[in-house]
Formats: sequence, structure tokens, C-alpha cells
Amino acid sequence: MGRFVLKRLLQVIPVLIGISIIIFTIMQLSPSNPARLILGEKATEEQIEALSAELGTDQPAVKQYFNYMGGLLHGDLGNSYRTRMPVMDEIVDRFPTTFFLAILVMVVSTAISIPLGVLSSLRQNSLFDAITTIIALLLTAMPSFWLGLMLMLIFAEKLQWLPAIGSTEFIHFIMPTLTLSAANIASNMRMTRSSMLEVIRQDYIRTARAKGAPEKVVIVKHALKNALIPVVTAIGMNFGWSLGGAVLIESVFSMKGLGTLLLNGVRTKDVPVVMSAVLVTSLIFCVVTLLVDISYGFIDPRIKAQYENKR
Amino acid sequence: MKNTDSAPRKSRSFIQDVWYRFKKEKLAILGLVILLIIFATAILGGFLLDYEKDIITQDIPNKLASPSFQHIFGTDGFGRDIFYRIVWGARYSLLIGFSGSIIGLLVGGLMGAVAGYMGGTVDAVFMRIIDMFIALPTTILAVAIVSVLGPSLTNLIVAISIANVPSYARLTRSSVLTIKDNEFIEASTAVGGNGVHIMMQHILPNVLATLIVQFTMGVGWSITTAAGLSYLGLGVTPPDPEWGNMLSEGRDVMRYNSNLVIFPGLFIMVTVLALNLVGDGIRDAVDPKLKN
Repeated sequence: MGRFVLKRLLQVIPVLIGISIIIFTIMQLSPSNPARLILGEKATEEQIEALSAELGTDQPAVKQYFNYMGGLLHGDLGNSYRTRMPVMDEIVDRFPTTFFLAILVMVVSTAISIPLGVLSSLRQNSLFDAITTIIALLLTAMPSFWLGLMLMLIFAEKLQWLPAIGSTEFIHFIMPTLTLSAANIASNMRMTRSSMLEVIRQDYIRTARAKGAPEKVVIVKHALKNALIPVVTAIGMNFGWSLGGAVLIESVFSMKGLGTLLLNGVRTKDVPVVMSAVLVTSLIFCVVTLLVDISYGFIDPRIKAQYENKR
Repeated sequence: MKNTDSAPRKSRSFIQDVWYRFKKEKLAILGLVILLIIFATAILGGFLLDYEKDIITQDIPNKLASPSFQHIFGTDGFGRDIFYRIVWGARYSLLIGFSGSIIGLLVGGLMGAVAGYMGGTVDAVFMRIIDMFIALPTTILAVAIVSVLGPSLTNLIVAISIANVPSYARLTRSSVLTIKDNEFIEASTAVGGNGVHIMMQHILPNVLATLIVQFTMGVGWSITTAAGLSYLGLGVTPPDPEWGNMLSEGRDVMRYNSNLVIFPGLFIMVTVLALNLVGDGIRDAVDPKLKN
């Protein structure tokens, strides 16, 4: 198991290098000059040249890339072109907001979707099943940022129960969490339902019932545990989606997270900020995917045995 | 492909077979009808509305008016009719959604097919590239691409197309991998069929069904993502009325008139819902075993 984890961790490195090349290339393709964006239209050529030299953007692209990556290896994410402050400080400042939001979304959507999915599979074709199916269809089709705007309209503008914008207190996270959870709830619920429907028709479920196991045990221990693998995969994938979706949702609710940092960086062609925000997001995504893979071992002993045999 | 339904006669072609089963799905038919209505609205709107007069001309004294017979959804912050602008906006959303998905499908499908069919080093390199794109959330990728190219309709389509490529490529590759070891491919190779012939004649028709299902769902994703980018100011720019940028305008005035933030979103939702229903219907019709 330890070797498997180490091997997977090592595989993350080339993926991150690849992503850094993709993003750096995209940023370099942009015709605008960062120095001009910072100084504005009225700046003279001399001022722009001086600032370019200071930022290092007058150097060849390949050199700029290696400078950045060299710094990264020493734990230095460079300085923001716009604020001149170390990017690391900005990331450390904003990372908790995005991460906390993604965790909240994962917890809320899992806590709601799995029980609902199990219930609708046990009552297949009932009224309850029909209602949850319709709700899931609507939630899947709803653009998340529009749902955010609707929640804002109802709870912040009309009822005035919740603050419309901000990210400093727990209360600020309620609407963004609901917004990002909605689509996850729909997809996880459908996934749990179809996975459960497949499992509860298996012979071992009949055996469990025949030997007199209580219904609760049959459902939770025998059926759900076997139905969980695809659901756990989906939860892991959705976590990555929440990190990406945060760009829009943080913007809707004016939250100070990695998403808005990235967006501002992209707009001002702040290469160190964009590179760092994307790399941190992708690193978390890779780690979460790895955790999902490891969790298979705990859910299904057969998979754990496979990991052990591979060593 | 497979004839698993007992009812169809042998003389039906695959397409007829799929349509026969699709017709029986009430929700899918509802989705198809809604989609046709939205298409008809987008096309008719082009004939009946005047871009200069009805869509972009401002009428400040009439701004933020409530719904009335004259303006059924009311007016926006510049006094323009919200309903007319939504009707006009349908063309952008449909154009971006469909063209972004078609380009993504063609490019991704071709890449995936070549990688899956050739195998070896080509496939290994390809899979590593796809791994990178998968660890990069698609919204972020799309934001980065549009910001480089600059906000415009064409650049939005380019960004959406590129963001679509990895998922189609991966899907095609895995479908090709499951098919290429079949005996009928071996038979074609044995009688001297070359790679291109085998790909076009034997492999492509067999992976098409999977791709069509993914495509229908993908159009919905493309429409939503494009609206999101326009909301961020990275897509279709005002005064052109795209559903996403209308929502962005609506957010600023929602305290005075909420119609501008409600209706464009409802139209996105209904369009995506219709596409999803049609996609579900096609999936069940193509492979009835998947139904559940």
C-alpha cells in the first residue's frame, strides 16, 4: 500500500510540470504586455521598458519559465506583477477560503445525496422516487452561478437573512456552499440510486435477507458498501469540479479565494499569480484523486489485496 | 449495433431502431419538442426583430419597467425589452453550444481514435497529455484561453471547443480500445483493409452511438460554461444580449428589478434540461440495458 501511494505521488510531478507548461504557454500567447497593463495607456515607452526589466518580462519566454520553476523548487512562488508582494502570501491568505468551501460542499452534498439516493432506490418508481428524479433533473440543468444569483435574490435581497457578499465569517459560506452543492447532490444522488439498484438485485443480498439479517444491516452493510465505489469516484471528481467552479461562484459572492485571485491574475496577465493559483488547485485535485483511489481499498478489500500484490 | 429489443423487426436499420425506442420515451420527446421550440424562436427572432431598433437601442425613461403587455418580461437597466433580448440571445447560446461541441467532438474524436487505434508510444504520450488536461479544471482552462484571445463570440467558441477536446478524446480512445480487438476488425485487416479504411468503415460506426450521447450532454455543458464566461465578462460582450452577460447586468440591478436576473437563467436551464432529456432518451434508445 505504501509503495502504491508513493508511486502515485511521483506520478503527480510530471502532470504538474505539464500543466505549468500549458498555462505558461497560454499566458505567453497573450499579446498584451504586463507592464503596459499595470502602468496604463498613458505610460511612456521608457517607463514600460523599465518596469518590464524589473519584472523580468523582457527576457525570453523559456528563461522566464525556468526562472519561475527554479524558484518553485525552492518554495518561492515569485512576486505578483501587480502588487509586487510575494505570491505565496496571497495564496496562503486565500487558500483557506477556497479549500473550506470545497470541503463544505463535499460534506453537504454527500450527506444529502447518499441517503436520498438510497431511499429512492429502495422505493423505485414511487412518488418519492419521481420527485427526487425531477429535482435532480432540474438541479443538473441549472447553471450554478444562476442558482447563486437566485439564492442571493431571495435570501439576501428579499428576506435579508444572509449577507450577499463576503468570505470572512461562516455565515458568508452558506449560500456559496448551497450553490456549488446543488449539482453535486443531483449527480451523486442519481449515481447512488443506479448503483444501489444494481446491487440490491444480487444474490448475496438475497442470501443476507434469507439468513435473517435485519433490513437496516442488509442495506447499509451489504448493499451500500458494495454500491459505494462509483459514488466515491464521483465525489472525488466533484471535489475537483468545486475547485474549478469556485472561479465563478467566488466571483458571484465576491469571496476572497483562489478563484477570484486567479481571475484577477488572468485579467492583468499576472503570470506568477496565475501559475501558482492553477498549480495549487491542480495539486489539490491530484491529491484528492489519490485519496479516492486509496479509499477504494477500505471500501472493497478485494482492491486492497490488489494494491498489496502489486508491490 | 445490438438488437436487444424484442419488438423491432429485422428489416429496421440501426437508426430506425434507435428512433423506434426513442419515440417511446415521453420525457425525451418532451425535451425534443422544447429544443425545437427554442430553435424556432431563435430563427424566427432573427426575422421578426430588428437588431438596431428592438435589441440595442436604449430607452432610458422606460428603464427597469415591470412586466406589461408591451414588455412581457419588463425592461432592463437601459430600457430595452428583456424578452426580445432573450429571444435574440438564444442564437448565441445555441451557436456556441453546438459549434463548440461539434469542434470538440471532431478534434477530440480524431485524437482519441488515432491514439486508441495506433497504441504504443502514440497512445502513451496522448494519455499523459490528457491526464494533464484532466487535472486542470475545464472552467479554469476556458477562462485562461478566453483571456488570452480576448472576449468575443469567436474566441468563446474556440475556448469552449478546446475545453471540450479532452473528454471526447478520452471517450473515443476507450471505445476504440474495446472495439479494435474484435474479430471483425481482425477479419478486415486479414483481407487487406488499411488503417484509414478500418477506422472509417468499421470502428467509427461502432463508437458513434457513445459519442452522440456524450455530445447531447456536452452541448448543455458548453452552453452553461459559455454563459458563465460571458457572466465574467470573458465572452459575448454588451450590448449584444447573451444570456450570461444579461445575468451579469441583472446582478447589478436585481434590487430594483429582479426580472433581468430571473428570466435569462430560466432560459438557460430549460434549454439545458431539454438537451439532457434528449441525451438520456438517446442513451436509453442506443443501449436499453443502461436504462435505470
